[in-house]
Amino acid sequence: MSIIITPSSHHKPWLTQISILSMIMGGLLSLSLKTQDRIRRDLVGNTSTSAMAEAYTKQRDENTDLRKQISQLRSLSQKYAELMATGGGNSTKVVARELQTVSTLAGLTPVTGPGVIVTLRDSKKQPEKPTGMSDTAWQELTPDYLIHDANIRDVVNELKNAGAEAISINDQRVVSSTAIRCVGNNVHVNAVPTAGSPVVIRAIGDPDLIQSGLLMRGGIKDHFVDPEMINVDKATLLTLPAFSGATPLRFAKPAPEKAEQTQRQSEATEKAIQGGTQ
Amino acid sequence: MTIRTGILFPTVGGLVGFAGVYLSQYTIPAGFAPYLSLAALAGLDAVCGGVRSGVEGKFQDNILLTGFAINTVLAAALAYLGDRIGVNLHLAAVVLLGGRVFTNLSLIRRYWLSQRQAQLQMEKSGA
Repeated sequence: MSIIITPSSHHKPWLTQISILSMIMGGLLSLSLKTQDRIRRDLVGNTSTSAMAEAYTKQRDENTDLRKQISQLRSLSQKYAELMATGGGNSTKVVARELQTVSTLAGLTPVTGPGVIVTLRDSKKQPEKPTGMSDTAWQELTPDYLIHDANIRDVVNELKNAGAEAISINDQRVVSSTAIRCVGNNVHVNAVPTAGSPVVIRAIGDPDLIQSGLLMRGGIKDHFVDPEMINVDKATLLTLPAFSGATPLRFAKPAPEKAEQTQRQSEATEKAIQGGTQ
Repeated sequence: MTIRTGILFPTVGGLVGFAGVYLSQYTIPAGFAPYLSLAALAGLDAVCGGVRSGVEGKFQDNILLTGFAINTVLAAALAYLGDRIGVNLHLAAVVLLGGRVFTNLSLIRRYWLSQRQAQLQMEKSGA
């Protein structure tokens, strides 16, 4: 059998055109193939546990770095404020002192003073788990034996009521924007994960007053199933860290004084109307 | 046995185009991927149609070129429109173009088979 390769030259015009088109089509096909491949790979990469773990660690490290940066910048600005207080004239001194007071109030500076240390622990008296029940199911049935975010919020509220001037939870300073949230088996304060149990709450204020406020009959201690879950110690000298988060104000602005005046006026007229009707 | 180099040209062309783009680093954003796939399918349809019209001797270059250019764009554009108005026009394009590719391929195959048979008969009668 002989193999004859015919050049088929009489077909040429359409063959060349189709060949060019075919080349373009091949390009389109391979581009499409490559893109689909990449999409598939990206999808797999994003959902695989190792990639997620990597992304998580990266994000966490980045957050730590940024937090460090915030505290550095904040200490720098404090240094400037101090310089202003010592170096400036009388008016700047007043302003600097005012600034110092306000930032202490806002929780932006570390503070020291007497106070109490409240320790919240998961109870050790949790009833024995019946056999054949999963850990999570048993914990859902006996939630009162564990410390929850609500318990921490209650304690913080009680501390504030008893006149605490500065509060920290697991070394996270409580400020006006602080949120206390349960995430998984961890408590997030200021969106920073802190240890679950025990939760250590430090508060600066009158130690006796705060202690009696927390331990009074019918008070917060009685909310716990097991009285050993809450422990209040007086301390003569506590140092609470400064708030380490950012404090952006994006929406709230100081109201103009004019508005305040009109509000006062409207209140006055309301009073006048009430007085008139009486 | 006779091997016609005719069909080799488009095949080689396709392979060259495929390899050329495949070896490059270029990919397109994921959002356009479905439309590109449709465009590629339309290209395949145009090439098959071209080969068919060629073997049938009805080839007209302007029909092929406009068909190729317009069908690729139109398939992608229709699919995009379908996505925007919530109708899956992808399916329409895939069914139509895929069906045409099959039809064209079967017609090409038939043409070649009949040609071969005629050749064999000619050889027999010649002998």
